[in-house]
Amino acid sequence: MIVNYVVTVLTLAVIFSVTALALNVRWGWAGEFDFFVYGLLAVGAYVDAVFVLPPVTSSDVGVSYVLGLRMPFIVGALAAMVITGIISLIVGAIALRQLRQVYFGITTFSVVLIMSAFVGQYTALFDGYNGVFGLPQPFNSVLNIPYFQYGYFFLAFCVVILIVVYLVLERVFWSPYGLVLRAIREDEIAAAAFGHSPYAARLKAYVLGGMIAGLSGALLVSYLSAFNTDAWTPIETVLIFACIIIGGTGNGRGVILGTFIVFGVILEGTRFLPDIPGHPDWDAALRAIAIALLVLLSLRFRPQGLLPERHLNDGPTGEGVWSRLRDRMSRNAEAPPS
Amino acid sequence: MTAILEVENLVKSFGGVHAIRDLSLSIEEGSVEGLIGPNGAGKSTAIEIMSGFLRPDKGTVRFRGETIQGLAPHRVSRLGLMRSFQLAREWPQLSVLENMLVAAVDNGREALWRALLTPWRLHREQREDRERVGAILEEFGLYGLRNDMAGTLSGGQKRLLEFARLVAAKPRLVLLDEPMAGVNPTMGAHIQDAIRRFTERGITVMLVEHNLSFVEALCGSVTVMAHGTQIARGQMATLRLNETVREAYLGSNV
Amino acid sequence: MTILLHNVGFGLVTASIIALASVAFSLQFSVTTTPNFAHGDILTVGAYAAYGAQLLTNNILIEALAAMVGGAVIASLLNFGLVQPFLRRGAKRLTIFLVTVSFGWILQDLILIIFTGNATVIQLPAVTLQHVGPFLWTQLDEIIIASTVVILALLHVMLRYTKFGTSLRAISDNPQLARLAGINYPRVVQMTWAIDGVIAGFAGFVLAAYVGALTPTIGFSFLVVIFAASVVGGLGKPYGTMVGALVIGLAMEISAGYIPGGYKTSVAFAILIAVLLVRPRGVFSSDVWNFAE
Repeated sequence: MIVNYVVTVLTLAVIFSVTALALNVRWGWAGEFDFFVYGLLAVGAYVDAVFVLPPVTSSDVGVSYVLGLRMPFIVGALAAMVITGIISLIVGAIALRQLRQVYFGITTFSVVLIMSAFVGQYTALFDGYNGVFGLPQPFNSVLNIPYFQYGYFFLAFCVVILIVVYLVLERVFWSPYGLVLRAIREDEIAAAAFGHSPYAARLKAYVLGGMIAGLSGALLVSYLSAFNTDAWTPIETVLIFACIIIGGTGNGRGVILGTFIVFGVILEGTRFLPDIPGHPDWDAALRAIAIALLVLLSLRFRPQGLLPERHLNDGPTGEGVWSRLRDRMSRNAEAPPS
Repeated sequence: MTAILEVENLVKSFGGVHAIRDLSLSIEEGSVEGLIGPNGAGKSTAIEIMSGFLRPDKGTVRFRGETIQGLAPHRVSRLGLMRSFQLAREWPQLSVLENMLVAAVDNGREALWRALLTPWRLHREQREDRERVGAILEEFGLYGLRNDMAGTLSGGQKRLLEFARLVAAKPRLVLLDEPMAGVNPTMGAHIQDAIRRFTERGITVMLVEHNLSFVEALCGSVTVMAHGTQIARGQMATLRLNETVREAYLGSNV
Repeated sequence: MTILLHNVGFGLVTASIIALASVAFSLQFSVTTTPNFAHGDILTVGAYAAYGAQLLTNNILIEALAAMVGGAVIASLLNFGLVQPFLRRGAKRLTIFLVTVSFGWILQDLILIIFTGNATVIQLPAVTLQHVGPFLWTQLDEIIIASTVVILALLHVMLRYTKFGTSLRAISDNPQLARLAGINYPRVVQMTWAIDGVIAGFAGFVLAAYVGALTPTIGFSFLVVIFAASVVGGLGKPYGTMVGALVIGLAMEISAGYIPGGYKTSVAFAILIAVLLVRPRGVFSSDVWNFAE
């Protein structure tokens, strides 16, 4: 059963890597201290759930949620991205107009807590504190993979999604838009002096990050086949920040590395400690302390993270995978016929 | 000669302080106009208003015939009116090359949808940008520093980078706010040469400076401000003999 | 009408607890401009210190004292052990913020380890509800309000009439000028953190006593309400924050008469967001200070 455990941890690490990449767009690139990412993950999870689950019937006692469209996973995931995109647009349009840095952080933090209270109290929406559960496994009605192998399939699927998201974001990073966004992060007044609207660029980053966070929520809820407000505490948000701080702010590969370090090594490491009777919380608490210490160490000795942000240099190696691919293709085309 | 920038009856106060009382001035296209005056005359405030970073209480600013006061600074910039800052504002955690590219980026290319949907054409355009920007860096003597983080440059180099960025952005008019501030005086000739590059390219320049010989070397016509309004305009030599100007600079060697 | 007045009464109690916690926060912020995300956890430490004292003696005064000492120790530790070293190396404000986040995280988990996550209770002598004018209070409520008034009054005296208080106000007004005027900057900063800890620790004790149950996250959950009061009053303005606490506390309790109680904190957050959007510098501010610069 060790193998299954590894699959579990890996899958969670992959899913949260997607979340971390979303936060990286907002924090690493745009420089906004955004606590809202985890709220959007939750929204994505809930939206996917209510699209994918069957509607509430009278035989379901004490359970209530909206919709229930019995759609396949893809539709649920797309709906999650669209809804989180819209919410990001609205929240961003209001909050980004005036608020900076810590004020922005406080506001987004509060919005998530309000949402959490609202979802918990207003049970008709997403079944309150009990949450949604019983989601079907994505694609399995078509593929019919037996239970024990499904874990591998889903992990592979998540890895594919992660790779796609990573490549798309790489493209954005090296594009003029990406560069302008980072300039706005550095000095928005100078950026405005050169014709770039800080508000517009930040809003776009906000929506982009939001949609990716929503996608990760859809993945998470499909994996756990359940979701409720307990999974939704501020600590999780801090955790994602930790992944980015340790791994490399602004660097896609760094972010993924940081997530894997946090999830894989730490979660793995302390699990092998013996359970001390009478103190069942030691495990989780020690792990959390270890991560917090790693963050402090990073902040002290390597604030830019393990893999720092990359820059446009001359030559093909300065532009990431896409450019290298292109250059290799053009070199092949130019090679004289032998 | 046509006036590329016209300012009429500008008024601006902060709390109880009247920074600008009733300012009118104009700049002729293709010229290098100086803007001088004692401390507190309102020169920097005037620049902030002209470039869109401040809204005037009253008055108009017209750039190439279009009314621009009250427009957001990035819009003013896109119309072709750009500025430098007293303290050179480079993007410190980006390389010199990247600093140039941010300035050089044409309005259409920075759109996010272009990054996602037209990557191939964008790549070609980016390569063209890089060549153009590299040539400008060469001209300003900064090509060797292109991969260095802009934050590590010296004061004089940062100033040159600021000018290089402005050239890359292809403006029609640049407002230079105290270009010698924070620069070693021995680099004065270098900075003057850099400013002449604007004129060579047909870019109009307005120059705010305290160093009057610097102004004299570069500017054809000079506007003098004091107490928030214009008190004189003309060639530097004439202004030195002007009573009102001398009074405004009371005590200093004009 | 009576219910409304009762709620106002409850609001005053809530406002008192909020006032203690957020004035401490604002005071510290006014001197250091460091937003301390571990502030809530200092409250928690105070509460658990009191609980620890309760295990040894059953004397409320000693418990209160333990809370204050515990708070002061932890706050000073945060300043001495983390914030100062980072500042000496030129860390940016955002980095310090992240440092406090990590510290708070560690605190919460250490408390979890030592005391387990089970809710514990601060034992108090039995209380009864009494009518005090139009309000309905228990003796505990009265003690809370009274001690808040006393502490805030002492704070006011300290700020207005002592040399230390004057130095503190000078620094919060204009740090550079204060340094030039010969004020012992590091000393004032250390003392401010300690005072912040004393008041916050006591606030934690009071909060746990009032709420009835004590968990490792009790202070952290309170953090956003503290932010709300601080922002409404103006970050870094202790007097404004007192008014902010009053506003938030009253709003929370009065609203409970109209909407389900689970939304109480949401009301506080909603006010916070509204103020941030309309007047981010707080309802009482007029200065041009900008946090981002």
